[in-house]
Amino acid sequence: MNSMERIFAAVQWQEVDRLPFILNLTHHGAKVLNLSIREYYSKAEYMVEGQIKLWKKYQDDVVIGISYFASEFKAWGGDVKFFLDGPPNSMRPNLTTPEAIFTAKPPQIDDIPEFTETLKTIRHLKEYFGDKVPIIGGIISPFSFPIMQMGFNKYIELLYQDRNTFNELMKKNMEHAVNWANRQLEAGATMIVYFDPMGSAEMIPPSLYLETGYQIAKRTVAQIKGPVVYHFASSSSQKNLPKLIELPIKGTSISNKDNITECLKIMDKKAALLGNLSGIQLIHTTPNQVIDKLNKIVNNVTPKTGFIVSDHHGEISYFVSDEILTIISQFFHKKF
Amino acid sequence: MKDPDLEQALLDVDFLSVQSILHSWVKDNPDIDEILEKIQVIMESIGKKWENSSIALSQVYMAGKLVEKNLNELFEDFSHSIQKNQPKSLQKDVYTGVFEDYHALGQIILNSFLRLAGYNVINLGIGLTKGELCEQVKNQQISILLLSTLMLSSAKHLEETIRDLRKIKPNIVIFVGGAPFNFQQDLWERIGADYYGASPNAILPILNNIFKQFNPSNGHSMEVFQ
Repeated sequence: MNSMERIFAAVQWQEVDRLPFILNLTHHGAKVLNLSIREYYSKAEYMVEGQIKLWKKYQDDVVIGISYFASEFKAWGGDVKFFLDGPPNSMRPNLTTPEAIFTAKPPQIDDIPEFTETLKTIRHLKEYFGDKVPIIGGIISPFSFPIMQMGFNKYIELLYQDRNTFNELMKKNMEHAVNWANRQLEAGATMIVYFDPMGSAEMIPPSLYLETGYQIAKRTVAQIKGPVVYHFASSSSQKNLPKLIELPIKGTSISNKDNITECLKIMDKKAALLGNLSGIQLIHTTPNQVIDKLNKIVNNVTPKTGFIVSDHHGEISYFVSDEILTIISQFFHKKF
Repeated sequence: MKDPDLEQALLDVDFLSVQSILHSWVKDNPDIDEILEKIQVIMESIGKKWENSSIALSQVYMAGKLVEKNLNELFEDFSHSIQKNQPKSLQKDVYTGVFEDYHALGQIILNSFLRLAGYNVINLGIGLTKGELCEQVKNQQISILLLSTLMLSSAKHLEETIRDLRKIKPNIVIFVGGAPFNFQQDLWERIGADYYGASPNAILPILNNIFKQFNPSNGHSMEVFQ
């Protein structure tokens, strides 16, 4: 089986030759090219070369077509801070008043260099990998994006106190999210990862999620013209799963706090699970501990499908060493 | 004994009930210290529910926000009212900040819990750099510093910062918190912090002990940290 066949068989709970694994190597591309993270994300050529090198080195089952996540915040006029050893991060929120929300305009994709470079990256990766390796696209969900746009505290207050402004913001964020996801699919992305940590029961009560974030997801996912995977970016999803499986998604993440066996049971073969390695824990771990952890995960997956082993955050830490990444790769290529 | 009505109203984020309950408490007994004692029991219970994952972060944040909002209406800046009645030597000054990051929810929740526990919270701000923190520690009487961060890279950068802060003030007590520390339980030790707290409930008993130990009424002084 090639990676494309393996991933799609797993999400449909069909037989696979081995469990698929995804390392979520985003800014590690800079490391293999000896570039700074800022330089790496500045040109499609670098991202393409980085992803190809990483894939050749570790042979995981996808390549990453997207740029850094905070680029969406930048596209909406926000400032981004780059680090030498971690992902770029959004700085001060820029939609902090109802007036700012009502006058904000979603960005034009073709006017944003980060977006055009991302689309170019996806196109080149598609040319290189064809239908053999899935190319991962992704968006920040309209419901979670306000954490950057407004600041977490102001957004929580908005959710509880001002549904009119919340609805306005969701309308604009959904327009952008759908547009951005579909442009990635048109460029050749195989699937869209819908990052929605705000939906986790760790962040808001499930009842509030069902009347807000879930409805937004339902309407957004319905307009995305390709496969969608739901992702909670290392937050727990177990309490959300019973309702999530009613959405037309191909999979969802679980965190290292969630129980694999129980989660698989809830999924009822309707979509796959991704998880649940903690990238942070992989930094100070020994090779034997990693193998133990992988064995535990794999042993909990019965039958041996419907599960993709992955870092639970959606982006593995820059500090995870080549040695550990190699061990994970060898684990899947040599056994099970 | 905790008051279940106020706790439930807070968890339901029921603005009107919270306001009505707190106003009736003050009407019955306007002593801020006694009211704060009752509130602390409730906040501790809410903190425990957060720790065992039975409630969400938004509820914890809104609980602190609602209680503070009402107390500020009833007592005109309640935290300041408590502090101004205390001699300087008994004031429990703690400094908080967000390191290299602009996502402050954890710090805002912590500040709220600390103020409700009677601490004088001095907010050093967000997006703090190593240089800014060193300047603050040089120029202010900072004995207890609580820093939070969201990104793993920032948590790692704290190691060098803590080392530099200790060169300026060897006895400074440094707490750290935030997502990277929650995912790797020994990270706080690796970077040289004194304490780590996953929640206000974990931090408050440690702080209370520190201040109890060095309270001037016990013959000690916070000056040992200076």
